[in-house]
Amino acid sequence: MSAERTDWDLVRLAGDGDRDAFRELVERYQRRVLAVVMGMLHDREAALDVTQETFIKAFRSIGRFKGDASFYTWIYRIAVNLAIDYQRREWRRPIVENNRPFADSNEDVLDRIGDETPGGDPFQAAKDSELRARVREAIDELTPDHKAVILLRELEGLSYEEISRVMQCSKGTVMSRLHYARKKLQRRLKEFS
Amino acid sequence: MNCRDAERLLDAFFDGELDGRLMRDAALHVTRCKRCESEVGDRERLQELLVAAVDDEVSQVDVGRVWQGVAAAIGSSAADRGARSRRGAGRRNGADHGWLRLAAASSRSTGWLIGRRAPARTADDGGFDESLDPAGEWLAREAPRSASRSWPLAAGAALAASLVAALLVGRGDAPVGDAPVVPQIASAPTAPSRAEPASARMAMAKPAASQVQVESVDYSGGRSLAMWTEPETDTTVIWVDDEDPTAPKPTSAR
Repeated sequence: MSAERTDWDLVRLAGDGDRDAFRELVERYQRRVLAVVMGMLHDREAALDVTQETFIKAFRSIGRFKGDASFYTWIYRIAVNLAIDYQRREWRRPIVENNRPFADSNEDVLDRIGDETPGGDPFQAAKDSELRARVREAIDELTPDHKAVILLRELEGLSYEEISRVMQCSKGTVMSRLHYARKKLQRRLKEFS
Repeated sequence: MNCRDAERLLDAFFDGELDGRLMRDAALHVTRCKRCESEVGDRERLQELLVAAVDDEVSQVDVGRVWQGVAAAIGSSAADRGARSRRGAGRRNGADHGWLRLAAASSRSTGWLIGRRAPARTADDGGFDESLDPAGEWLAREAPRSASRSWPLAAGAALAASLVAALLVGRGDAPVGDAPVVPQIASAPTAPSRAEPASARMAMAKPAASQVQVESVDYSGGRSLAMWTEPETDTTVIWVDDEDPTAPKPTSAR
């Protein structure tokens, strides 16, 4: 069995114009990048657009990637910056309601119960769905910087040091933003329960 | 450590960002303080909900569309440099699927009371391939033993139980019994792992026996606490058990 290629192997090949190598990088990270961007934007089409833009931008500047940071830190940085830019551009525009997987109406939540819990407890499923919807709402209330920090930590498991590199801020700032974001989300959840 | 000290450290404790001694002190406090234990539990629950909420949304997106859009945009620029391309015939299948194996094999274990990394997921479906992780099956079997505890992360306890049992055997005050063989964890990663709810993350928290260095064991207050590090994955594992390890044990029937 051939050895798996490292990110750095693929980056070098992609830098030489190897599309397959770059595709491998995209497939390795697309879901993670999409998750962070989706968490920040809460809009499927926008998240897909920003994720694509992230990789396009990465491909076009991959020759300048020196490997002094890990590829995933670099790609997250591009993604987070693009997502923040997108949010700033769209600041005045309300989020399109039908992009929300769990809209606020009870009807939408209940409609999903059968799909989610075959043979399970429908009331618990409804409560779980509602909780997730509340979490989504609470995330939406955070600033882009706070969103990025908590998503990189909770979703992607990045260390404080890695987050500080992605966000280009100090570790202390990461810790402060993470604490604030957690407290705010927890308060919202407690209000609901 | 009192509650005021612990409160300042709870985030870093939960995230596995404290150094060894502080981690141990915080763990000891949390095991004995209901309020701080609850605070840690809140963080765990929040993480589970956050991951579930975003996963719900991501699962509704065809991630294959990412490459379609990227390929369309970079097609011409890649073609311009195509003469230097090193593509090889027949490699496509391996490229399409090999990275999935890498992602799964590259997990860094983590979790609440366990370092900072999470199990890998396959990038397309977000799922964790258990077939690549026989250790996970073992933990899945063993985890229910500790399911009654509220926060100490059941799955890791199964592994820890075997390790602590081994320690106790060394002290001569525990039964020589059926401590399971600790399975080998996958090799070191090149890619980061995706964070998961602690219960899922714990499935990867299985250091190989040869790599484990138990740093401290503490028995007091009716609970035992063990902490060790797994150097290969930069993971700190803290295990807490309500059972008093010095209590009389049933003797082996052998």
